[in-house]
Amino acid sequence: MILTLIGCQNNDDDGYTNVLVELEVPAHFPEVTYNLTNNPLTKNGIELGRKLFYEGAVSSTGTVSCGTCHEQKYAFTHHGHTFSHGVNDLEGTRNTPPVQNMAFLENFAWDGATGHLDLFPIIPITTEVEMNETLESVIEKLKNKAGYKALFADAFDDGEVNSENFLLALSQFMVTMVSADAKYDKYIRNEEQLTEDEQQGLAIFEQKCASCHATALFSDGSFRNNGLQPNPKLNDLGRSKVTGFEADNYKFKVPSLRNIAVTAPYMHDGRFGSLEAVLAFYNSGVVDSNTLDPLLHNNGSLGIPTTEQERTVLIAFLNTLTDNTFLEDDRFSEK
Amino acid sequence: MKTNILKSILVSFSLIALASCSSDDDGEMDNVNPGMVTIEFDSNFAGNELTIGNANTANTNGEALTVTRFNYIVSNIVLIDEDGMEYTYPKENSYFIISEDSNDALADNTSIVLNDVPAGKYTAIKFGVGVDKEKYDQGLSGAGDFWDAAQEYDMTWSWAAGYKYINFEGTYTSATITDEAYKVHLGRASDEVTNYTETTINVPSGSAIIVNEDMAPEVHVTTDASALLTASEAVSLEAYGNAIMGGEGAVKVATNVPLVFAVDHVHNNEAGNSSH
Ligand code: HEC
Ligand code: HEC
Repeated sequence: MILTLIGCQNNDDDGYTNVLVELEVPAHFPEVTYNLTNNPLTKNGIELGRKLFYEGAVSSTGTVSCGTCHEQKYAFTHHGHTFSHGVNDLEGTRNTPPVQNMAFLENFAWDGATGHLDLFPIIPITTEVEMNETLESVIEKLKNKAGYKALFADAFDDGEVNSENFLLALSQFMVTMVSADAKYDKYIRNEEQLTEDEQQGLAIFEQKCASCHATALFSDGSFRNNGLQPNPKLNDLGRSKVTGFEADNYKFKVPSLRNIAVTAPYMHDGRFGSLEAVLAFYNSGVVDSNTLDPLLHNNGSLGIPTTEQERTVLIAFLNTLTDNTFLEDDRFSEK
Repeated sequence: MKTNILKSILVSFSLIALASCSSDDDGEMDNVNPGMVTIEFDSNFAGNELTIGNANTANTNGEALTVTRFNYIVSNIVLIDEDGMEYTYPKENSYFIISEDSNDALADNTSIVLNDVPAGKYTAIKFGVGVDKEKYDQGLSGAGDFWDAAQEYDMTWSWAAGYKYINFEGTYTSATITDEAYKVHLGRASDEVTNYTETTINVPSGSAIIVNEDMAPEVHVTTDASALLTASEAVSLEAYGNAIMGGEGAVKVATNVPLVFAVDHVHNNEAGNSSH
């Protein structure tokens, strides 16, 4: 149970009744980065956010919702799609990352296009290949759609159907999407043991991977080039698309590895179909360049060498990051 | 200026305007006999009038610009009095869009009205250009109206979600290039490179902005659009491929931004009368 309802009622003359919700932060997680004081979670706000997440009216064709690309059973990724498909089945150029533990991130999207969760949804909504809409027209559509006026009125003090409340509600929902109940978490909480293989895998992970895939989020939040050969057709420059600095070329946000077993394909462009392929890449596929992360550049040898046995146990460990409680939690489902 | 219809939009972050008075040293300033102050932004180009759509003479980088759009966000206004005491205009009301645009659908905004300013004799103005980190970190909470206005003026980015602090667009001609379109968009690159800048400009010596309930002073600030590319860092449009939207080019423009503004003169009008 991640959310607790604290008995604080907010009741005014308009019959506005809402209940504040406290985000329960797992003890082994880093601090929450999302500013909850500015956008306090409420029962109705979260519920509105969930509805909006699954609302097709958010796209120009009326058929694509956030949930189309971010599917719960795959940890809110677009399973099986190298690139995300949006309206009119147009293809984007990036692989859909999971929406989980957003309350703890500093930057969003593979290149950190925004540092604030509230601002993030503007990107998919206005991108031609994703939802091809404008925020203004989404708000107009919601005003005319049955039910939304009441839902906004129940969720916010001023009750307006406007872009501010729309984005705040989506954030409230996404902030509650915490994944912290995998076998690994149970092991950390001394509730379950890891097998021999899983333990060996953890030890190797800590030694070879945890410098980047750090903390209980399995990401240090930084932008790095892990040595993928750029795809010449896309030539996605990553972080430097946002900052404009050449030193950031081909750097991407270190992704969380939570629920990694269900989020194939892998990497910003979804080039690898399996974890075996990812580990084979780190072992022998890393390509040198000006911005390759120094950690992958050791005395003339590139990458992270592993034996076959090490790769087997690493994968056993990575499988302990699958959190079925999260993947099946009906608070996050379309219902 | 394209037009002298001075329309202002004061975009408030909150419905409750809290007039807060503070001073550096000895505690609170009492807000007695508060008055209003109008700040007008008169754009020019290296000392000549900036006319949207007309060619200007070549700048010191050898590039002759025709500006079709010049808009920017002015924020966090502070008035400083003759004793160095600072009055900070309430932050939630302190974000404004100044705009001149060849798109006639967008009203020109060239002035800002500050209300409930404590009486005093102010001799300097401090303000920011863009959206500071604190405001950015607040996300959309309380920013609704301002976000919508910024969107209307094309001052938001969708690919790097956030605000554009400056839109400076048009065409230019150099020794090697004729009538090429250019775009300079300034905005946040990262937490480390915010490109948000502040500037403090003094009123001409011997003059002051006199504020009380009987006065309605107008402060004329000149904005030299040319200086964005020349003030201290020489920024050649050609060298940056006609588009500066981040990276080193944006950092250089941000270095120039504080030097673009100056107070030209102050009209200490009596309330009820206005002059230019
Ligand atoms: C067409 C598929 C598609 C749709 C529809 C879509 N997304 Fe995404 N989402 C993506 C892709 C692709 C990315 C990665 C974008 C990038 O890195 O450039 C992403 C990234 C994200 C992230 C950042 C995750 C991280 O780890 O940084 C969040 C949050 C998010 N989406 C929320 C939403 C919300 C909310 C909506 C609905 C308003 C939405 N998405 C609609 C495909 C989609
Ligand atoms: C130098 C930092 C660094 C180290 C060390 C590192 N990684 Fe990564 N990892 C990254 C970055 C950066 C990405 C994203 C790259 C991209 O998509 O361009 C990534 C991506 C991944 C992905 C794909 C995730 C997804 O959602 O698509 C997996 C799986 C992965 N790493 C596993 C590992 C394992 C296992 C190790 C140890 C053997 C390891 N990494 C070591 C930086 C690192």
